[in-house]
Amino acid sequence: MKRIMKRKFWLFFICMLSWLSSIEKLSAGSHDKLEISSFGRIVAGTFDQKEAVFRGYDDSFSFDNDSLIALRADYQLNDEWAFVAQAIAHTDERRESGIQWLYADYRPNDVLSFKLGRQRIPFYLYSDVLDVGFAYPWITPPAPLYSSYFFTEFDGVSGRFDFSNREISGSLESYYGVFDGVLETVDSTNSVDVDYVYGFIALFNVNSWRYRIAYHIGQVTLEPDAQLKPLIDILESIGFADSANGLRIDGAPEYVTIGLDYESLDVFFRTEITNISAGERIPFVPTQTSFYTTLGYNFHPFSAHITYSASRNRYHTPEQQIPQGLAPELDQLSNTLELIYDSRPNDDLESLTLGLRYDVTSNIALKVEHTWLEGENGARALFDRQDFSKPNQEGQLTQFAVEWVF
Amino acid sequence: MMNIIKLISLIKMSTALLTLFASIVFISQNVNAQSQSVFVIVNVNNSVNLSKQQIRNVFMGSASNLGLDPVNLPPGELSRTLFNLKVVGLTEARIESYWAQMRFSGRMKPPIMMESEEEVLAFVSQNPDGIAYISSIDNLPATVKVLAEID
Repeated sequence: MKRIMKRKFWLFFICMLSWLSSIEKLSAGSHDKLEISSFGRIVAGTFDQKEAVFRGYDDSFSFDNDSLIALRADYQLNDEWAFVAQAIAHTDERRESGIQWLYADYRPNDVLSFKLGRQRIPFYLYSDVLDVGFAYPWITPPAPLYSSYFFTEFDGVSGRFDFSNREISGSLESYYGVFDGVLETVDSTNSVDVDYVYGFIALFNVNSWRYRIAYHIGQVTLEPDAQLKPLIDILESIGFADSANGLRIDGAPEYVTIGLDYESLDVFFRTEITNISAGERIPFVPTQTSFYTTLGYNFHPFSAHITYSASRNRYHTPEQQIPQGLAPELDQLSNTLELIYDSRPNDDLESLTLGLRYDVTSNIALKVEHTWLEGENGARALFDRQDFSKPNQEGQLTQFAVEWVF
Repeated sequence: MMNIIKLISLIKMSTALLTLFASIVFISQNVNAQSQSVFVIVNVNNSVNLSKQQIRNVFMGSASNLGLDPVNLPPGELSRTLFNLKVVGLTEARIESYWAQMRFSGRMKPPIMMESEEEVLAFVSQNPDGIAYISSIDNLPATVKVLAEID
């Protein structure tokens, strides 16, 4: 299966390259109304652990986890309307290849713009360009923060207002949409239904500083795991509806994110902190606080960075509804429920990354990165496969990347 | 075993030399560039008055409310290097990364690029909203004026 996926990827890769070369001639002759651009990355990496697997990396040297290629077409109909489509092919079979962006872009004047169609959610500073490795300093954006969302896309509308004066510039952005799709987590695949998702993002640029504040909320319903479904049915049938609902993921997690960014000729500094909370309604979604801080040094054409990131997750456990000591069947049910709550995975993780980037040309960059990962005692810590012989999951990830945009 | 040690020493030496070379190139470019001025030009009929921060914003796409049409020169051109150093305050690589983020998130596109200062002068002469940068004002046409000289 994996081999077929790889073959498909490379076939797509070759087709796109040949198409690109022919399109270049086409667009040159059509007054640049149709613009074709592309980005991609080849990422190789290895994880130093024998048993554990992190983000698909094990102790072998692998190209399969983060390599990708994408093609984007912008068609400018007139001064106000444009149509955009972006398709992507991943080597990682757990990530969906296909159309990622597909929208109409309407700009009635210089300061207002609207998009209607399929878009990516700008949860964090780089969420909507997570696949464009050329745009950021890391090979893998800090996992404790950038691994924390249910879905990445929505179908709907977004609007942006740009402003500037002599000292400050910035934008106010908002979106509203829905999403039906599949959620891939480190150990399961479930269908996800988002009744609504909306958010507000404010961005301010003052001198070399950039400030970003964002709020997002989405009503998410996740299909229960096949193992949980019979238990939910039993609890419902004997009248413990609250206990049954406690096993479902059905609620509206809220995201609050603050970001700060400084960039000069010599140095850069970037930090983002987020708090995700589903309140007490969804016992299976923890309240999560995560952040990262990056310090970088530019010595053109090289730049180096050191990044520290961490996340803390805490679950709410609802009060037990099932009375104990009345009947052995009820006791067993109550114990099963407690066992399930006790086995909820904890993704508390710390990471420290050192990275070097070399900009070969204005559109090709080489990167090398080494990350030390350390999970909390007993935590899954976002590992795909854990080494249960250790009290905590840990390891070192080494990655090399070629990033490009055309 | 000896071969491995030799290979490691060779890699270390090459890395050190590469870093040294890159630093020398960067420092010499900076030293040369630091001593020259860059001139920001607009159409003679344009009465706009901008701070250095606003000029930066225009070229970084975050002052669209001013309704100006900025024009870039290709990477490696002296005036572009001067402009990056003195006005934008970022290296070419960081600017390209920024535009990759803006382009592929659909927020905005980079300024259009022209091949030479002659082309840029012709564009600003003909376009009332045109704004660009050049390294010399020796042959400035009457249809173009200097908005700012940045040392």
